[in-house]
Amino acid sequence: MAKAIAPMNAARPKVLLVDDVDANLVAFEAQLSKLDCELIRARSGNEALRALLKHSFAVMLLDVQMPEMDGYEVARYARENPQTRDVPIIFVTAMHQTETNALKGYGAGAVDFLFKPTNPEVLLSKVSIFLELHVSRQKLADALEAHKNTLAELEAFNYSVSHDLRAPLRPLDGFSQALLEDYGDQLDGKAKDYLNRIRAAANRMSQLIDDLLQLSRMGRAEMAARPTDLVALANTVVEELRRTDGGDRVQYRCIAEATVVADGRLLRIVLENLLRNAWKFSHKKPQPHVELGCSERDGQKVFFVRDNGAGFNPAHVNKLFQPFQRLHTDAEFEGTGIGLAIVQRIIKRHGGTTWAEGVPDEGATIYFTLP
Amino acid sequence: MSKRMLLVEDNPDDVELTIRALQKNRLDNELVVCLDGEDALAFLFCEGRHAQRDPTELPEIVLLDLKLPGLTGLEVLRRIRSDHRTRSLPVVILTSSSQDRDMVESYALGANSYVQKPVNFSDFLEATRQLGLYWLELNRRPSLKSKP
Repeated sequence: MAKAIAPMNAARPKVLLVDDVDANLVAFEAQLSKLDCELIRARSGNEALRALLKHSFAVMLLDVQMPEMDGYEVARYARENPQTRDVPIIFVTAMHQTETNALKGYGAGAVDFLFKPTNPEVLLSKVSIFLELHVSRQKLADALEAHKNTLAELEAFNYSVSHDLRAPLRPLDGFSQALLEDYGDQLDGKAKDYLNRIRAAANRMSQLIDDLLQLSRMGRAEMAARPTDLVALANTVVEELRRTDGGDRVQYRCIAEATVVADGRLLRIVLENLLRNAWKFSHKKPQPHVELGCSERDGQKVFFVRDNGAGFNPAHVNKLFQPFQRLHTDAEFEGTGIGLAIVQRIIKRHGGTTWAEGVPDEGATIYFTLP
Repeated sequence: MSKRMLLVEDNPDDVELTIRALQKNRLDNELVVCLDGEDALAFLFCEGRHAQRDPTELPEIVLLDLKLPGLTGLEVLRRIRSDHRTRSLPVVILTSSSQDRDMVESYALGANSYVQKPVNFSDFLEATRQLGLYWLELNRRPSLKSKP
């Protein structure tokens, strides 16, 4: 039984009671006995400072008038040490209420005071507030620690994906190609087709791994938001797209200028994905159009990239931003389905939102905001 | 004439594919392969099974994998850079990893180049062709006999 209780006791918040008069300590203990906390006594300033270094306290009740080292001196020493600086203090004093200005120097939130003779109700409520604060702080710190561990695990996982999952793909592609080259004359068309399918699958898997890593990097990449001309950035992307196969057939229209506060490198990735999609899904049309525009909604600027291409069934709009969800077959349009997931993640990190509208065979519009 | 390329690679598939790629580029007779970091260092410093080697004959280029059993590629690189005999030996990291961390650490330890092994064999062929052309033909190094 004792074993089972010990860890619970260890997790209970601690309260330090500092008073040179034993009777006062006994009185505090009696008044605080209802609270779920561990009470630790100190009969002098020196004893209090030693206890502060040994334990982590939710709060200390500190008698002001003590021989040798008074309460203020204890507080001053405690504040000087980073390890004990944040322990909240409730001074217990016989001073008249108007003299409490002296206590203001100790910083808001971390200091309170009680007047002798102490009212049990007031004492109980003040101490319990600090206990609650301590417990919720502890929970927050625990959650943060757990979060950090998860991040570290994710990092290790990414690393392993990057290294180990890619390596077996090389022999798949390489030896398939070697068979085709060296033994091609002994293989019929079907055998060659099978080998080519193996190669295509290996290369696709490699692309998926690259995309997955890029997506996870986008969530963690360092950001430096600066005023950036969105249109100028888009134009550099469009120039590249025009050089691609059939890319110069697309008619492109855009607003004159739009300065946003964003990380230029990440914003370029957003525009690259949106514009490349628009090009990809519209270039088979007789008269392909792509537009980079800006409208207003609830007083906020909304940017959009619109095309008159393949569009999509609005019933599947919620799948659009999911990683690796595709609304078209590979035969129609190539891709891994990562682009819009990356767009959404980057916009989200800037504090913006993304959404989409589409009509099958008439086109799609992807909207995004940047605060 | 001694071999001009040292490949440090533990994966037999990758060794085979690298030899094949070098064959296609007519560079396969330039290659010596070490399957782990210890053997690579023994080769470079003419120790153990390589004790009979002429220590003045170093390869023109070391192709170094990062993920090796025992000594890692980065540890091998650190040892190469901390020995006066191999301090200026060109080392190209040849790895599956595209992680920034690996690139940063490799360059910090004095790698001359960092190449991600492509999955597509045609791309790999092109990468080895360029590596061979650059490090064996274009790049110039002082003769080992001349003191700095």
